[in-house]
Amino acid sequence: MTAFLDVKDLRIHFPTDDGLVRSVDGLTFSLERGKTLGIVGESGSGKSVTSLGILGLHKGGRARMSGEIWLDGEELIGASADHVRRLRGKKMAMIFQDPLSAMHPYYTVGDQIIEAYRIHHDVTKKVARKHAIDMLGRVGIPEPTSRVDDYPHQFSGGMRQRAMIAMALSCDPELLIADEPTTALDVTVQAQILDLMRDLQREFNSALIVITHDLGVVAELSDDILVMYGGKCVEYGAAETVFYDPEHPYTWGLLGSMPRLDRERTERLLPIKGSPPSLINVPPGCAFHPRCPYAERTEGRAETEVPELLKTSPGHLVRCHMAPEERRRLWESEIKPMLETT
Amino acid sequence: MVTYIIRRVIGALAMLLIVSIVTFAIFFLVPRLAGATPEAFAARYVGRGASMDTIRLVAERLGFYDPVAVQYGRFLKGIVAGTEYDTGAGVDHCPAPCFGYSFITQQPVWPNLMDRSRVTLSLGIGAAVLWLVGGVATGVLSALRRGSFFDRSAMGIALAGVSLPIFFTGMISLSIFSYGLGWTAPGGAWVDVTIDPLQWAYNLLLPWITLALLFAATYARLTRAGMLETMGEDYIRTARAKGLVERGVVVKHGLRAALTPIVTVFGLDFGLLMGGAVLTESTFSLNGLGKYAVDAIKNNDLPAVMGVTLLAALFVVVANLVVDLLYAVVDPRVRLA
Amino acid sequence: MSETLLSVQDLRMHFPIHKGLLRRQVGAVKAVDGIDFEVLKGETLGLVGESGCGKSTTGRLVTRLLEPTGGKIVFEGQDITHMPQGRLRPLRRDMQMIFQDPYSSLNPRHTVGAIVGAPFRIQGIKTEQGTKKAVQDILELVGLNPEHYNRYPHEFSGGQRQRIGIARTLALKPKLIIADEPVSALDVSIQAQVVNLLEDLQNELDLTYVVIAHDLSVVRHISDRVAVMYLGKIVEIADRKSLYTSPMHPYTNALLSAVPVPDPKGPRRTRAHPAARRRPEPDQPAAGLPLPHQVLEGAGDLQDGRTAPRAAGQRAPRRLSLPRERAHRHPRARDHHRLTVGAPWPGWPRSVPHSRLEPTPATERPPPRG
Repeated sequence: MTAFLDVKDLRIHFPTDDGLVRSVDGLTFSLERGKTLGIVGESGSGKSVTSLGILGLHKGGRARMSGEIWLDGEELIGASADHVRRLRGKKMAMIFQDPLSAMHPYYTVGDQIIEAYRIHHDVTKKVARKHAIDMLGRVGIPEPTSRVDDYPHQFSGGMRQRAMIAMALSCDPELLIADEPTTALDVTVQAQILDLMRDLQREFNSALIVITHDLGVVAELSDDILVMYGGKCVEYGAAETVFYDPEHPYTWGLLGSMPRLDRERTERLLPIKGSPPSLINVPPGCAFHPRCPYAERTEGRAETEVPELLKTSPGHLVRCHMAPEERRRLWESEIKPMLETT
Repeated sequence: MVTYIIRRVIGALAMLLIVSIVTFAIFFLVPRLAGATPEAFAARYVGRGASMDTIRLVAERLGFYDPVAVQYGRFLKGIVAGTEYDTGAGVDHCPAPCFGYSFITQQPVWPNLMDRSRVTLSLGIGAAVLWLVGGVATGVLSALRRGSFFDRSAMGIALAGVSLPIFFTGMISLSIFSYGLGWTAPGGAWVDVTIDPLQWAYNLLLPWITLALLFAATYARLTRAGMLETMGEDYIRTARAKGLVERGVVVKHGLRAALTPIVTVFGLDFGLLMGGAVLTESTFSLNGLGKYAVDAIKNNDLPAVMGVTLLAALFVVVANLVVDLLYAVVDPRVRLA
Repeated sequence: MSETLLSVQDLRMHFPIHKGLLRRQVGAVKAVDGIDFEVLKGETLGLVGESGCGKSTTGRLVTRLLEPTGGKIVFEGQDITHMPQGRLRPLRRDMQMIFQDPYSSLNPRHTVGAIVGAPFRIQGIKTEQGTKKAVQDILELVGLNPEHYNRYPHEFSGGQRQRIGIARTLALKPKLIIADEPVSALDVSIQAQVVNLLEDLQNELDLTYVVIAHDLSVVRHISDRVAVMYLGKIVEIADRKSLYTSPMHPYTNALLSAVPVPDPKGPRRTRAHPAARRRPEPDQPAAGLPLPHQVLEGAGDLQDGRTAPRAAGQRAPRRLSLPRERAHRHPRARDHHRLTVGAPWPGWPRSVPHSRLEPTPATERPPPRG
């Protein structure tokens, strides 16, 4: 029995004049209905490309895709573009980062939701409009009957994101992908949207993928967390595992880079040295090795050999050359105390 | 919105007033400053061989001895309210938009202009339809198949279309299609649309195509650039993510947004064209405003020049106004205040 | 106590709204509406608030990129509020600005050397060893390779570009640096590098910062004192510790409780605070009181919208005033990248209304499994 969403060895490569961009390079994960997967990574880690790939939005483009994407028992990479298009918006939907640019400025919010609904439902405009008003009400937009005829720019940032969510949910999708859903929002508005997404997921029992660089958002929503770096998964596990017992130096780096309000203020942040890699020129061996403080402990393997993503405990996968025992020892004795010092 | 329109109309009127002052100054004040006598102006009306007394009489009657400012006031009044001319034999009434009488034909300028603008309008509208359809379609296809053979050849032709002057393409096509193959009407053929629409279209076909080719090239490039930009927008990705078919994505979401700047350019182009497609009309011997202007200037026919200049200015100003208002219709984000 | 470097009194910036046939002024967007604060030598003042609260406008006013409508700006004892640009120029050496976007704030046609060396040229300053050497020293100071003197901005990553931006502001050894969202466009790991760099430079060069940011955790990390802005006014100003551990103003409280906690089992963020829910949309025509009455529990005397000082902060009076006016939405607001997190932490006072959080000291965190 396969999972509701099963992604196996997904690769998405883009040939360019400068060389092959390996945006996603062998990604495997699965997700059940009603569960949330958080994908964490920095710019260029391949997290957004993954989500567009699942939706089939690279089809017909320059991208070269391989691997398997099973959605509810159906394989999507080999399926025809038109078949995937029919699933898009209905079975799987997406919420984008910046609702201002993601909504068409020339059409009313209502028109855009009506369009989304009518693509997959053979109903009259009137019926679809009623549905749109209903959806706007459900995502907490006051006076939906009059706001339905407003243009996106007449909405505030938070209301726009609500409208975007209403549009994505209009066909009752079973898989919802949210790409940085709150990044463009103010913190108080972000809180409302996070509440809303949690409530709606419970209501619709959909599978949710949240893509973000914000560990707070991930911690709040996710059951599982997948940390991406240079197009590959470097750590994958239950949310508690990844937050309390992380084993990959990159995950440690992310945790150390982030000033936290829920703890005493640390004197210094512990950043990761260097910058995220360019996907054209991913460093050989472990992609993280130029930034990894522990690279020299691998007897040179970090520079030459790509580490495997290996199980370190049930449900916890880590891609690192260091031995699991050493990683755990480092985390317990060095990293964790450092993150918690006052 | 209403206050915006009122403000814009007032602005447009002020602009026309300035244009009229400047043109009037150029044709009546500058020659005077340069030493031309009132008699010199009057002499143009009476023709050669008239006695000095006749000239003086005409100059007196037409008010050429008055200060230029007074003459301008009279000119303006003529446009707004009409004028009475004392012809000696009686009083001639020149109704409301009165630009005076042509030096050459001795006929009132305004009805003549109206006649001529029918030709120009026919030419402009037909060509505009062709160039919009052709240019936008080519641009969209080029953008969607960027780098393809179609894109490259279309853009090559567009470049040629922009760079070749109309009298060149016009002459060549006339000599091939009209005089050589006999497919199209010869130059100068004109029937009003109210008399015979088919013949009207047939006569104008070649000028339309020639003129449209020039503009279609610009519009194809503009549309292509606009489409390339909008097709990369986030809302296009959203439309695809909804499961919309690609044609819907392109037309309803991409083209709709890419058309906005084209509307602007189109309004301005069309306004300018109405002021006289000088080269096209000359090439195809069409008696439109452009040819009227050329003839008027050649003959130093001051009232005619004044009239055609102001009419052209009116077209441009109105086109500008329409474009601005249209912008608010096309793009709901534009608030007119 | 050290001396005051910058003092701002009753600063106002009203952008007029014109309407009607004659473009008569019918009102004003009060982007900054009467704020007071002081910046002491060597300290970092954090200016925090949501989009449209006027924090960026404040930065532009203080650096005189905008002409204030009213109030007073005193820098090093000199009133610079309406000082003409010509006389301001020498002062620009002492007061520099770091911008948010490392991509658009550097001229792509100029080399790094030219960008960082520009202040020397503009101010007509000759250094002993020549400008090039001076620039290379600064590049080294901000952690860039001095060999990259002749490279162009596009050859650098976002974090490195922000370092170039910082190097440029440091060229003339300024006393005060106004940093407007200095890290919000950067990746998390790079953000930490730049925050650390700013702190190191402050220690080394004795700099004073005003850091404008929306990210509460970054502001807490970097600031000595924090001012919270809301609709053009400072609603609360206090030293870091007391502001974050015992926020007095309901808006501060609402802000802090809205931040998601990067801890799956940790104290859950409260559901969206009522204050947040009722927050007036700055771009909505109808806006009533900025905060609903029930949030202002125990502050019933405040609804007139004027100042009503209550608890006194350590250095500056706290304000519980709430303006009626709407602030304008900053056009760049949507470009901000919300990066990090945090939440009520240990010692969160139970007395704070609407906070359902329990104090959870870091040490009492659930032990790691396994």
